[in-house]
Amino acid sequence: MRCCALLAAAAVALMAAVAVHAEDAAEASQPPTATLVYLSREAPRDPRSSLTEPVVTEYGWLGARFGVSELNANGRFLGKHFELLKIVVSSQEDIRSRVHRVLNAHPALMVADLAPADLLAVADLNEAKGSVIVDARTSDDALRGSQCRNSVFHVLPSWEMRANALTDFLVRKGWGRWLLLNGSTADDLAYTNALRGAARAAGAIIVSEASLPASDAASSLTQAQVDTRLESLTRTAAPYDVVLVTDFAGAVGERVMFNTAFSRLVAGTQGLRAIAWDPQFHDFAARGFEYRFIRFAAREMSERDYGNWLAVSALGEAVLRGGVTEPAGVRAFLRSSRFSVAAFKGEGLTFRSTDQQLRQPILLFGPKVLLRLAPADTQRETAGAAGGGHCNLAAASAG
Amino acid sequence: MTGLSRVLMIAAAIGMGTRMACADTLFVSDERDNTVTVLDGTSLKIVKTIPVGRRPRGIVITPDFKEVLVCAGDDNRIDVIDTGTLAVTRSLNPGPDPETLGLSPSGNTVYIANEDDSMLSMLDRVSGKLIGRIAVGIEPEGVAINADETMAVVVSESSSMAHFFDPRTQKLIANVLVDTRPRVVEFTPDQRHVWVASEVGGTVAVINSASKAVERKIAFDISGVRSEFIQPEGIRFVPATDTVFVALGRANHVAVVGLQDYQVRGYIEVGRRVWQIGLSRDAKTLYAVNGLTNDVSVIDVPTRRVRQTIAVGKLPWGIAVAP
Repeated sequence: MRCCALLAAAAVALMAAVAVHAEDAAEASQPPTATLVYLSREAPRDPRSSLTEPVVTEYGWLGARFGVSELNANGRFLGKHFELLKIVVSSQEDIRSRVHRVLNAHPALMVADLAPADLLAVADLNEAKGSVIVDARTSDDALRGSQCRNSVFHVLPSWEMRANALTDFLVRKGWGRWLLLNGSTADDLAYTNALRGAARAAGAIIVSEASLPASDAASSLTQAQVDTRLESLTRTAAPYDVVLVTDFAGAVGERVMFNTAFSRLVAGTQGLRAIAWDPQFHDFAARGFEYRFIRFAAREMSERDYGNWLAVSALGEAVLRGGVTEPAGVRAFLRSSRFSVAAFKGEGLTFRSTDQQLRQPILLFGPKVLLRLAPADTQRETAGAAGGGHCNLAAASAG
Repeated sequence: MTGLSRVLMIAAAIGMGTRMACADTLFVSDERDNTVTVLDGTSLKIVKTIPVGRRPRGIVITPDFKEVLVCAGDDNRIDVIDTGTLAVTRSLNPGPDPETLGLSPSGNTVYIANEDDSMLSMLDRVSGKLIGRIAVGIEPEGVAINADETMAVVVSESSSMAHFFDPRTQKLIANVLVDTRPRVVEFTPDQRHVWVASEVGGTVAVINSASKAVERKIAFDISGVRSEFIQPEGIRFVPATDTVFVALGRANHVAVVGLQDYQVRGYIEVGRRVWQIGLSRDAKTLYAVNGLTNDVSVIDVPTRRVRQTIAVGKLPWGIAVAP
């Protein structure tokens, strides 16, 4: 009798998981169904390439918060509630000790809005080994290659994926001779490296390479001197079709176009870009999504915000649809065929099992409009061509 | 004139007369042109292009076929077209960003999905007065109302749910999780199930109207078409038959599905990004609205062959059929 009653109760609970009556929906005052830990580090404000460019603050964090607000809007119909725990370390602080204290030996669901070095430091903590860490920010090839970890999933496209999408387009257009101009940050250099790898694989020729002149506070160059320097850097003996620029800060990169010695196209971080998000993207209901973000955040969505929103959404899928909250169950769900996340790219996105990278169409975007959507299925399934090395998750099982 | 040719002429005239008698008029909303294209169902020629508000998408016809209601999302209004004069006679105020709408079988109540607002609004069709608003999931879209108007369903694209509610009490009854980005919902002719088409999930969920349980998920597989492109959208039940048509979006095909056994019986190739579909009143012709080729495929229901393709306005979205 007692057993029957228990079974009946279990059946009712099971039905409730399928269809929850609105009156029974949990309110925010109840304990959360899942807590997501947001990790980031304070950083100096990004330099702006124009004084009129709006000052953007809370990069990433607002994307994560927006993701949780949407999850809770959905969760209220299903009796589920999410909490976002914010951990932001100061510029000099050791992130490991902070995370160590917060986790208190419990594995967690983490949204890592971190640079590669911090991400690895967190992933290699003992208690983080059973955690799920969704990399919401990096494109680092090594993190998806030789430095991959079992606990880490990546939502933004890698440098290699971006470089391949851009290269495929340029080579198809017959613009296979490139002049490479790189900036000086780690991201600039990593993207340059990926472009070299993509060029090799697709048969594009790099006729010349040079570093962009510095324009930071330490630089003594005037703007006119920067422009003159750009003209001389682009006056090569060997002909080229495109100048490929990598300058994420943009102060010099934005000046390349129209300062070249010859009339040539610009691509890379300026001109034609291979990206995951732009506020002007409006296909596949992206317009309404961007509009909701603007109403939430009172500013446009950056790619870093989009990455954080996507990381939260992927974890939310596991909790709301997979019905799992424990990190081990979440990891299994994210890797399973049951998982896919709708991310305003026209198709459900899934993680590649080899390196836990989200497969996705890549936007080839001009200054204002989408030029092409590089399909997800052209992404090379064998990661590592760009120099990130090969990921072997089985061998990295300790991680 | 020979006797034979006279007989043929008379036969042709009778034939024409027969076609005229059951000729439909089609109303197609053109999202990018801000127009509704009116087509004659017999000649398949454009009768008129009616200017409407900006970004027209959802479109329905009243049960008496006297009015066509079209959502003009970017103008926050619903334009009402008189099917006799083929002109916009008045507009309803449905709240912000109406993407699509449903009409109660009596024709008295208009149900509007306010996409940006996560709300469903109910309006009195004749007076235009707001009857009520219900908070639903993010990006509400397709709406369906059962025959006796005791139950209605709205799907929310971003929340991936079918929200069941009672129109009389305006209270939610149940929220059912379906595959990602549901866009269209329809009650089966016997009212015992609702079919929900999930665009990104690529499936049609069959939900029991009484228990609210997802009893079945119908998946599609077309050789030579990437599975990601299979994006179910419009659903049409052919009355008094076992046939259901499901538009498959960027797969550029319409699927033929069994109403009882849920088996996919075949696929009909149409134009690019087929969105909504409409049936002629005699249920012998299916009209498939192709968003990216700016045309409508005219399909013969018994043979499942595309008879003709007609150019309409830019980015055609929805269709309403008048006899």
